Amino acid sequence: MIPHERSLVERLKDKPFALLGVNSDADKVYYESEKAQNGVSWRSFWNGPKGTQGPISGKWNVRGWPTIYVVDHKGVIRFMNVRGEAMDKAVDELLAEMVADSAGK
Amino acid sequence: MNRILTTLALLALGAWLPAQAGGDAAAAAKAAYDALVAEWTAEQAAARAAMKQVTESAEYKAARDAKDNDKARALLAQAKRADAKAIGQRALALADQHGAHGGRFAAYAATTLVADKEIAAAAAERLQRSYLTDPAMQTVLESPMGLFSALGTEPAKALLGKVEAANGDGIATAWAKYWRAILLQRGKPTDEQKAEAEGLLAAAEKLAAGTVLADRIAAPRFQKERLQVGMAIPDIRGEDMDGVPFSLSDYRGKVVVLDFWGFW
Repeated sequence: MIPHERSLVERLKDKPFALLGVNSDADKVYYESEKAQNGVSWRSFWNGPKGTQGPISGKWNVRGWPTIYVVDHKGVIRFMNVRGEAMDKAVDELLAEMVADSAGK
Repeated sequence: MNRILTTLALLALGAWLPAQAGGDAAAAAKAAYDALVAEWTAEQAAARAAMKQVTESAEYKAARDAKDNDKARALLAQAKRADAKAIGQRALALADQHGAHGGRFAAYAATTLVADKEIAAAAAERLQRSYLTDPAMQTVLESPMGLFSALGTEPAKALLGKVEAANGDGIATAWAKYWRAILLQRGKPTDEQKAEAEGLLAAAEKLAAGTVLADRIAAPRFQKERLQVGMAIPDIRGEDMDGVPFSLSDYRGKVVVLDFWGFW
């Protein structure tokens, strides 16, 4: 998972794109050490000291990890739980749509 | 006059001494608890490092490449593990030693050290006997699944029933009802069990109004009504890993991948 997300973020660093996490590591010290080793550059909400039992995932009914939502530039949910190439494809499609949208205006 | 003053002073001292002793006992329990938690945290970190050393060794990688699972398993088994049983026994002894202030030790054993079934059962026994209304019970109720799987469903339900009986309309009762409903819904529930679970959830949501528990109970509804493809994504307001507040809606105008993840 993480190597793929890292390359996605790297590839799209100059595009209107953001990968945002909801991180459910209960232990922030552990998070920091893993973050450094895995080259994690993206921003995450912290799900709190209860880890996967935290308030954000609780409200969003997250049962499986990772759970992924892909959102377009208007804030509409467009894809759910796409991984790997499917995630790349979804994001590229939405970026292209955004360009077409602004060209049409 | 002197005698009256002396009497008053003695009375004041009498009132003060037990209070002081109580404060000391609570502080002593807290200090012992912090030391235990620090010790277990360090032991787990050491175990994690030992495991990593194995998985990164040439010998282990060679075994994996050769698909020699027995060899790989044997190598992993050599790594020193954190001993949940030993520390669990100490946690339980500390619970007994600290009596009325011992709830946090029993709760710690019941949440963090449940890898050992005997420890889990002994921790549950102490919680039922002495700590049903203890504030530490809350930490158990917030993440009891490890305890439940160690105890088995029926003893877990019995514990929850006692929590409900002891806590009136308090938040602990709401949590206990919630978990009883979750346990009822597992496997293949009968229609009767499904209806009972629904009733428990409704009651728990009402008792827990305005808390994370109410959010959690409402979550399947929230997902169905707010989190489908084509719907505007609900905002999240929170803090990042550095404690800086931000909102999901700050990123409107960009394509966003929202990823619920963790290293664990």
